[in-house]
Amino acid sequence: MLELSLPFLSLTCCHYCQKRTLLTASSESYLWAVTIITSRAFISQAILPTLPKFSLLFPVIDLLDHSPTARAQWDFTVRDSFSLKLSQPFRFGAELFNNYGPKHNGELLYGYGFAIPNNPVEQIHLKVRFGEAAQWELAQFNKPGVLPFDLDPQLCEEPFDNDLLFRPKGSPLGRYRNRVPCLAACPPQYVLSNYQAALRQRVIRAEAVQDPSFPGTRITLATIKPFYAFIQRRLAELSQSRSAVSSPQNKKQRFASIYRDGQLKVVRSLHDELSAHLNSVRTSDASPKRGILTTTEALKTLKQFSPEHYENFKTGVRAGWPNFDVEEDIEALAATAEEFLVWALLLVVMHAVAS
Amino acid sequence: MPPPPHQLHGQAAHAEPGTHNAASNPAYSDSNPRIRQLVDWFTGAGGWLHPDVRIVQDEAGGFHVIACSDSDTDGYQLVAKGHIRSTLSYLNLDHTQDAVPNVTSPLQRLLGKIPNHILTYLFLVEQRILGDKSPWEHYIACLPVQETMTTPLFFSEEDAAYMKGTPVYNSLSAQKTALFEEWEKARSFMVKAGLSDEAVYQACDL
Repeated sequence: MLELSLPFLSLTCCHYCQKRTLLTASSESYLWAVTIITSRAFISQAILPTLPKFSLLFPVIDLLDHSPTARAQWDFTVRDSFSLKLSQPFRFGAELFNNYGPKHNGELLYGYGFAIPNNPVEQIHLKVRFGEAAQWELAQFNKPGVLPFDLDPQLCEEPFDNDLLFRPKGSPLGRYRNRVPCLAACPPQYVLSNYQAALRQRVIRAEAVQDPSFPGTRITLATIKPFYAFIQRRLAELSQSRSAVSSPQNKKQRFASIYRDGQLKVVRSLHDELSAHLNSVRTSDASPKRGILTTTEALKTLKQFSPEHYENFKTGVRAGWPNFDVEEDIEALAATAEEFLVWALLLVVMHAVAS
Repeated sequence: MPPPPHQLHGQAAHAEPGTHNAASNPAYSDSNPRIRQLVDWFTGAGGWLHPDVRIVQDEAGGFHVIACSDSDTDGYQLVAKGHIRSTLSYLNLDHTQDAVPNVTSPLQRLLGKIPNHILTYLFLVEQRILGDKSPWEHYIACLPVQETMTTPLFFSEEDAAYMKGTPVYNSLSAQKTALFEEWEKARSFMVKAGLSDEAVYQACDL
């Protein structure tokens, strides 16, 4: 057998008939075929509705590139043809575009090999796994008098999507219905899941929440917290990624940068929105309203108004956790692993003092 | 059952530039024989392209569709129409149907044994290998090759670093592994189905 090495295929030929064989094609050939199909194929349903859905290549129709603003119409005649219509004036030499639908840059890059600067429908994608048991549990929340934040009950009824898309303010796709503006960025299944966890942590039954459309500041904040943490992590990773590379040197790097920067822009927008919300519920000297305060602020308040209790508290924490000093770490408490513990102990102490 | 477009385009395929066919098919560039062959094959299979539309090839080798006149339009106008008989998918291997042309291939033995989408991938690889023996020869000749592909599966580590921190980056390694395993599994099915080299050679005698 003759071995031939070609730029893109590794083939073996029989020297009798010089024919090539599929069996010895390379995995790169397979990747090539996968990419061609996923980037260029159309779904069969409209033209062959009686068969189970599958992908098929439509030669020449698939030559038109994508533009999110192209006005395109796809008409299928069953078992016959695919007609592509455009509402676009012809200008000599100007490219004609198809419209693959509103896709964020992750879909465009992975599926088609390009990304659009300032993609108007850019979103943050998160893949999760809602098992059957989890889905069943969350479905118990989809009842009048239980469903929180005025979530859309219809969306909560649909099969739980494991591909979550978070949308910034002003997204032309609209946001998800939610009484809390910063949570409107989140798919309802995600909000429900965090809400369920917040109630479980506090040993509160969903039916016991008096007004689920606004279940109170603490539960609302507990529902927001995982989202905030997720956005903070993404922001840190993307910012770090951006600063770690030089200017793109080729097309692939350019598209990758466009995608990354688009994600960064949306993540920053979500982060700013969340931060603004958290600041709005912070307590302050200027405002007499009740609000949230950090563990650091609570300790400083205790130190200011009851120095003796503060010293006793410090001593008590050191007795139980000799390697941790409340005074030393007071400013950076939020960054330590002990913060939640200190907060819990502080609540106990304050309750005892108040009693 | 209509024959595959490979045979249908016999009449148009030999048209010379400046002939009636060239005038009635302005959608190809006379200086690019690959485009002319593609368009002739496409229209021979029942496809249609707007007379003010042209297929061009850029410097990087990619194909695009451009307008070759100035005209305004009210509403939507038909720009291109593709006939089902020019399509390519696993369905061409299924001789129990007549919606698309039947193609004879050893891969028919895998119908119902592997997922249809994987069979479509294998079928496309096979048709590419067949070269001028494939009914889709002129279409496949215009498809991008690996070197020009810009999907993340073809990114080097250096390229991928430019999207570190994104979901596509985070899932890339797992995707590549999964696809490689899928390919290996497909090959094992081909072997089990008796797709020996000899059988493939016989099928190549089209």
